[in-house]
Amino acid sequence: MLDLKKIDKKFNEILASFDEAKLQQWIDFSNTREQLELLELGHSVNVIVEQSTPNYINPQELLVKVNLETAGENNYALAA
Amino acid sequence: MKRVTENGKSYIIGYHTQEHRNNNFLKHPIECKSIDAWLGKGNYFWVDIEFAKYWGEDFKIKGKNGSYDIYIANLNEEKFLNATFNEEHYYYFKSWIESAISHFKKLKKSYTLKRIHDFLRDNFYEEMGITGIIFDDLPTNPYKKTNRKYSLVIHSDEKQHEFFYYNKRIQIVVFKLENINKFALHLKEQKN
Repeated sequence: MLDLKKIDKKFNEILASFDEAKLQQWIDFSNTREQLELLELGHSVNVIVEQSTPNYINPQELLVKVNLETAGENNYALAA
Repeated sequence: MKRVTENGKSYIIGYHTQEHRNNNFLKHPIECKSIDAWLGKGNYFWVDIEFAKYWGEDFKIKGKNGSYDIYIANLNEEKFLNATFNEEHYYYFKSWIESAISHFKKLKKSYTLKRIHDFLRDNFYEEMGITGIIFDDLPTNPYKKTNRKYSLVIHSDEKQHEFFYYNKRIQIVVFKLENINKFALHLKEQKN
């Protein structure tokens, strides 16, 4: 038998725990699951692939920059 | 609803309709994941065999030579939410759906029927100890078949094409297989 008053209290506690971030997390999970289920059933799905352009960093430039920053006022310490 | 009692526990007898697949018979029900599954993802059963047959005729016969099978099972109703016959259960069920919708709106998230039911199914029912839901809707007759026994009463003289549905079309969704006992083939290769 279900104790509905107790269950209702539990319902409200669980619902209150879903702030915007947690709800969005569940929505994202639900969307992914739905896509996988559609694929399993033989439907096609739209897939958006985000491809970012890599930033090339010259390691030599990075090394010089870091050393200058940490050397502080004693920049001439590099000469040591 | 028909029931059996085993070892002191009450079970509702339910019927599960599936497409006939070359004598490959099911050992357990097929979980419905349809976007239209109105009570969310789960194992769906009819309590009246007529509606199990109508469902088969309307949606489970594929191709000219297709047919459907009906399975029978004992459903452990101990922790079912009975939104059809229990007033308190119904009003709590309604309030939870409406609270979930309000919450989505408050947090400015879009929602559909499926999303709300999946949200409740994933995050609430098991935590709350609910193992299934009994609900009902009005019968449909999408292909206007004349064999349907929904009602013998025509709506009115002015609306002779409409029927007064007095027969609840009751469904049960059971969330886990552990609450489905003695699942077995009941009628095979049924056609229109």
